[in-house]
Amino acid sequence: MAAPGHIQRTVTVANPPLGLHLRPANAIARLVRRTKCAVTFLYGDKVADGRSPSDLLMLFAPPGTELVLVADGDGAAEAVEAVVAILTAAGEPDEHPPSS
Amino acid sequence: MRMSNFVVRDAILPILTATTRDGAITELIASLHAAGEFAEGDVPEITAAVLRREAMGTTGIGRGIAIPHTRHAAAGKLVGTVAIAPEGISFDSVDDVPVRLLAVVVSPQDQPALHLRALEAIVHATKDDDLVARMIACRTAEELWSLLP
Repeated sequence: MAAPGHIQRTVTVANPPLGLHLRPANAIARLVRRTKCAVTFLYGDKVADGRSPSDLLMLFAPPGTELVLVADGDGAAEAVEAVVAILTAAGEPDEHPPSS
Repeated sequence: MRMSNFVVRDAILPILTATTRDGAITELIASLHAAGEFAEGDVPEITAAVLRREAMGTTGIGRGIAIPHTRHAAAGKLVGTVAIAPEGISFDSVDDVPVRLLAVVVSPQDQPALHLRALEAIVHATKDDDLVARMIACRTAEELWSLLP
């Protein structure tokens, strides 16, 4: 069983070219919902619940944005690592490639 | 950017007839075409592009809202529309809430920043739960248009 904990970490959004857009937001929300911990994202005066794709999208976080992740509960450390991996991904293929 | 900047008023669907995700997307693109957007020959490919994007991962953002979208060479400008599915349609959203408010976006292939701004405008507009509820309760295109930010 994953150890409970409190984790706070600052992460710089990568995932060029769009950063924290709809697909990673949904991926993060699904991931957090599978855990037993709470994950919150802080950006300026914005607070986003990691379980909510619309909350995450309203951070409007392009590449280069610094977000603070706060995770509490069972598996917090693992959850943060998994979220960071999504946020710092090297990039994605174009979701809308030209038709051949 | 505001939704009213790119939503095609004549393409608004206050009551979708489709009951499936793919049917809803097809109906939305057809509505844009009927309102004068896109050449008829481009409608199947634009529809297919939106469906391909949806297959990559749900455009449902929870709370009964979905934003199917694509960038496409046949789009000469940014266009979109909104539709209501009164009974709800499954979009496999993370919160399992059936989608009742759909906002489709089709933008030019070579303008990803514009496309992103349109999606952000929709997300910003729909952060208000009360507004979303009022939009879902609309039964005419005029009512929906009047609520668009």
